[in-house]
Amino acid sequence: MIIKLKDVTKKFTTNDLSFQALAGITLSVNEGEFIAITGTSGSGKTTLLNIIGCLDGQTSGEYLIMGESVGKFDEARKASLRNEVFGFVLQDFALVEHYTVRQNVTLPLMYVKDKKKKKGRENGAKDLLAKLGIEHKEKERTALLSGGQKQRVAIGRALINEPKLILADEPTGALDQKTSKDIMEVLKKLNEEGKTVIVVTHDPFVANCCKRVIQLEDGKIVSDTTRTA
Amino acid sequence: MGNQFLLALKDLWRQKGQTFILLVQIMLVIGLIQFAALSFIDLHKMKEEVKKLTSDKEIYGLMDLTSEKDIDTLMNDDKKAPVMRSLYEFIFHNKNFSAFRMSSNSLSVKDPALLKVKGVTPIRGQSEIEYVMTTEKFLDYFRIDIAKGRRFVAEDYVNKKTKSTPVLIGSRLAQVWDVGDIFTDAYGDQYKVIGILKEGATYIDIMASREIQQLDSMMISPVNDSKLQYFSDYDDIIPGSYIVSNDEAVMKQIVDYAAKLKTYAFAYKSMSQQVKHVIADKQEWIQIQLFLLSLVMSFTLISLIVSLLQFVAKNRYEFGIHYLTGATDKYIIMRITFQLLPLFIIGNLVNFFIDVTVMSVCVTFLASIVLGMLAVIIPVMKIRRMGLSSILRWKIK
Ligand SMILES: Nc1ncnc2c1ncn2[C@@H]1O[C@H](COP(=O)(O)OP(=O)(O)OP(=O)(O)O)[C@@H](O)[C@H]1O
Ligand SMILES: [Mg+2]
Repeated sequence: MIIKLKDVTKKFTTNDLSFQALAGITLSVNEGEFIAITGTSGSGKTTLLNIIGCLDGQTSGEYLIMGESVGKFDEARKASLRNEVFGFVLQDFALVEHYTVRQNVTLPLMYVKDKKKKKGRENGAKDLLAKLGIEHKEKERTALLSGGQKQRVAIGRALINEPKLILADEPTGALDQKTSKDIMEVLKKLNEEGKTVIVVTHDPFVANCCKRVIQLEDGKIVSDTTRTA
Repeated sequence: MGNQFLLALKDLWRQKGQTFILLVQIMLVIGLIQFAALSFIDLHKMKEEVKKLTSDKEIYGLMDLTSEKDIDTLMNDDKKAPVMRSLYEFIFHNKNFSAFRMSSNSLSVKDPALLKVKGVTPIRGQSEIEYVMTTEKFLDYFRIDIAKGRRFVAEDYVNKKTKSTPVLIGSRLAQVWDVGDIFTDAYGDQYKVIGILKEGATYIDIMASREIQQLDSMMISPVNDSKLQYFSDYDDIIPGSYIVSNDEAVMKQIVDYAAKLKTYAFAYKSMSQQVKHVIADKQEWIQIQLFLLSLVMSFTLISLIVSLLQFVAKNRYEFGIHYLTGATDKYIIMRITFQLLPLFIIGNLVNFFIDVTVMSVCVTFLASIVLGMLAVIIPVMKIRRMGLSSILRWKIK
């Protein structure tokens, strides 16, 4: 079991107003799963994904990664998890627009401590770009790419450190249908290669690509179905 | 670290316009801090200097109240010279008290090397050097030391024979002359360097300019009894002389004697009284200066901090992406530091364009470190407070 959440809640407090975004989430994710998290807007999908990705902390409950409680981790440990265990793909790509494609893809390597690993992955960047079909854009400024290409760059960046888990928040939200399909193909292939993939989406097509669909409503899981193909 | 440094330089270059504005603001602030520090140091020095003046014996200054008309009459009276001599002897060679002069004159010397000396005024290719013609007491009073060569000896004050006037030169003039050198002024008079003053020698003519005089680019020459001949020679020396004595009665004697000789109408003032006024004046002036300065400075400082925060805010989303992919606070702090460091280093170069002291440079440097640290820490704290997920959620560009 790679990820385990036990009764996790999240409360946001701004100006004395508090909002319960997650109200007791209990969830286990095994290695190699391909999961979609769906639900209406504001149901807490992004909040959940951010907690899983150590971008944010929970208010209560327990979160375990590979059996270890995240609550005990310091900032440096969480940063290294973001660096090597998780790969993030976000709706608005979260790319540094004035960097080149290569600079964006190799950005996580800047924070890799192991020099040998770093070197090896740097050399592998070209192959990765080729696999994603954007090797010809390697030296181009990211701002000049199309949406689909940008998302491929983001996926490249998510993969460069060979993470165990891909966390994608509406990866196709800013893309047209055809491009969405392509991106989902890429994620599907990654899952087939053994990566665990969690996709937040409200696109039924995207959810249909996944083996397991978790539906959130008002910060609670209302259904969790695994398709048996 | 190297990575962050390169990234930071690129940030600066990418935001050239803002970088430039920021740089100008930083220079302004540093310049202002520099001026404020200099003002403080000035006041402090002034107090020190005045302490010197009043710590020993009381000193009195003569005030010349003679009317223009009377001076004219005196000037045209050929027989007055011997009378003036006796007044001079009474003041400068009296066994009950001693006297010295503080007012400075200038002489022109033509020497290209002098044009490069700080504090020497160039006028039509010549250089005007300020000098004080005075007595031994002046050196004692202001505790002026010699770095090289010798002080004046009794002989120097009476010597009839030598063609050249012995002079002590300030430390900056030692760039041009050394002990033993002889130079000639625009009138063909010769001067011989007998000693070099220690760097930083100062005095203050409290009755006149009220400013601390730096002797570094000045000279001191002895009042030579044997060179005094005409009325004007004595008139140059006597009014504006200072008398060192603890007995106020001697001042009355001088005033009376001058009157008896039908020369000057004198009055006198004690230094301790005068000093109080001067210090109060100076303090007030510096306070006004500091007040204005602090006004300008607070505005500049606020706009600087706003610009710094804007500068960092512009990069916030990018910092968020770095956090997302594994950066810790350490890297982000490094990045912001490296962004600001060059600006502050260049900003500190402004010091070279102001007449600074080591002390004021230190103060300014420290101030810019504090400012820089604030500018680094505030945005990092802001990012921490905001939380990574929010930065990525609310994309700020
Ligand atoms: N930092 C925050 N401060 C206050 N409220 C927040 C914060 N982040 C999220 N929320 C609130 O929490 C709720 C859940 O937000 P979340 O982004 O998880 O929803 P979502 O399911 O991802 O929605 P969408 O499909 O529109 O992306 C929302 O009502 C949102 O306003
Ligand atoms: Mg969302």
